[in-house]
Amino acid sequence: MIDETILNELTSMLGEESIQRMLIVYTTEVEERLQVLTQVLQAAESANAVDFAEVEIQAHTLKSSSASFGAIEFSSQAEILEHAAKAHDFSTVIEQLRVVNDVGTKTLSFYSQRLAPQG
Amino acid sequence: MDITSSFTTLLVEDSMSLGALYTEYLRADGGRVTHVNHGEDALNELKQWQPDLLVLDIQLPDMSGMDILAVVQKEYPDVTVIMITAHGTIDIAVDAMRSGAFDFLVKPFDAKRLSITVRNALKQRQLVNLVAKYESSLPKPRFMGFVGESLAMQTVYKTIDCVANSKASAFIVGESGTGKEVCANAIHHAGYRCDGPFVALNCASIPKDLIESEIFGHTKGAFTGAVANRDGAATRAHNGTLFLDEICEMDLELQSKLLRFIQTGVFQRVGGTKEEKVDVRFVSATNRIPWEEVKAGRFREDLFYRLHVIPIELPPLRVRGKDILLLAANLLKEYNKEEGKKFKGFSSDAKQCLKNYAWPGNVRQLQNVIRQVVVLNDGELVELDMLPLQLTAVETKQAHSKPQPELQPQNQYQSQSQPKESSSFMGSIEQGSAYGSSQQKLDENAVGGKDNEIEPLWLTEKRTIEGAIARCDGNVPKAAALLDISASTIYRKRQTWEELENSLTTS
Repeated sequence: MIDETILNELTSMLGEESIQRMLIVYTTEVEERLQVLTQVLQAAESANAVDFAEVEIQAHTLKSSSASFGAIEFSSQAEILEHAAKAHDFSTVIEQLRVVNDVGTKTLSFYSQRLAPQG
Repeated sequence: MDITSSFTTLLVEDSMSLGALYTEYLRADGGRVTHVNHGEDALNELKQWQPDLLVLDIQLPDMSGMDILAVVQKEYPDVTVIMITAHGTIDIAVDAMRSGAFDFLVKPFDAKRLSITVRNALKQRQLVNLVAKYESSLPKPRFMGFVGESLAMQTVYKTIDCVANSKASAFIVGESGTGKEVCANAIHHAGYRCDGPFVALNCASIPKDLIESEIFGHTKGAFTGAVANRDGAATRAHNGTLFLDEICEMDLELQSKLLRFIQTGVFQRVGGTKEEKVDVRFVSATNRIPWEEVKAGRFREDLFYRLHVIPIELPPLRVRGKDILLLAANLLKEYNKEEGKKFKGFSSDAKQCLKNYAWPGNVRQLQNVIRQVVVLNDGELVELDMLPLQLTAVETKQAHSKPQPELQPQNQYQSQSQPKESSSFMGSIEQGSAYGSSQQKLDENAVGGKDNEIEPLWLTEKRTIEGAIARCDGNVPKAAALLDISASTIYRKRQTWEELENSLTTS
């Protein structure tokens, strides 16, 4: 789910302190974007219509940033969601919104453990 | 020096985490980074300052990175743009390269990949700057209305560049025909006053009584004929440039009024009581030596110091070397177009003649000569015999006669190397081969017959005209043009001479 090689490279390049700061920015951003996608999903389930443009933008950004911070699985699922939104494929978007939310939550959990002070 | 030692970057990336990551990458390379998330913010930043590098995400929440690229290419072409793209938008990134982006990076990319691209971009900027610097150091063949790449003219161009944005008074000196008004115009148009008016006033061509009114304007009834209020050059030149040509011809009394105006920017119209204030940059010119005029008491010393802040000396054409042929070629092209002719260039003899001639009338004379050649001749090559006699006669004279003692020039800016024989056109014709080449014979012809015998004027005139026709191989219209009369005048005179000769024979 997480490519440790990418994380290690980032750490050696930027230093532990800097990478900690970056990961805080990343996880905050993921939380915000997942929240937006959750709202879109709730709206879609009640109204049977989805804001494809919003989904595409959020999925696109999650795909790029997650790949850069080693969250490979999350990036792949976001990419599937982006393509489905671009194709206006309603059922796949609904299904993939749930997958992305699930993988995203697991990814956040991984990074929060990594960010937690080592005891 | 490390190429990345100091560079500025505007990073446009909507993802906060990626923005923070790329900022770290760029800082590690020595960059000073400003990060914005939206396209609109990027455009606002660009209005305030222009970075060395613009690192631009293609997909932004409010607009496409391509739109920003288009604005940058148009408004800020010196900014080097690196596009950031995701896998799905590589085609757009290629289009961006075609539209002027330097390179593109595909997400995700690591610090090394970004670093290489940044270094390449900075290297290219360095080379572009180097080429621009080199190009600006090369001789400019054209500059703000001037044509010429001689060292003397390059110095003039540099001075104009330096003084253009200053308010300091410029004083142009140079012989007639060297381009003093072109120079004044260039100073005006190269500077921040270019959107303001350029008002030129020739102090020599305006009657003494009217010049004050021409400069300062007048009120209704100020003098006979002043039927209405009229703005002078000072008013019209507000926020622009006032060019006072032939300034040394100005009356001493008016010089003191001009001095006050230059010192304060304040003046009164002729007949007026109200003071007016204007913002004017002064450029003056003369073909005299201004300091000589001061010494002779014809030009106020205090005015001299006010106007003579930045002197610009325009070189006479004879010291401009290869500029003569460069100018001649340019003029030939221009006049060809105007006159519908097909000249492509000059024969080597003609070129030699143009180069050797002293050009006492400078560029203005060269313009007239080339115009004359184009109007009176047809062909693809300007040959030596198409050039006016005043040029070729000097060549003949120089080839056959012994050196004459130097004439003392009246002043520095009057031609120092005018042909030592008569510089007048008629004199040149008379020195032509039709009447021999010895000075003695020339003198005889100039006076009339032998032994200083005075002959009727019509005979002298006839000899001059027939001589010109002979020099033009019997071409009457060409001889007429060179003599500055119409061909019909020659035909009419010929008829009169015939009648006079007949009457003399019969009597």
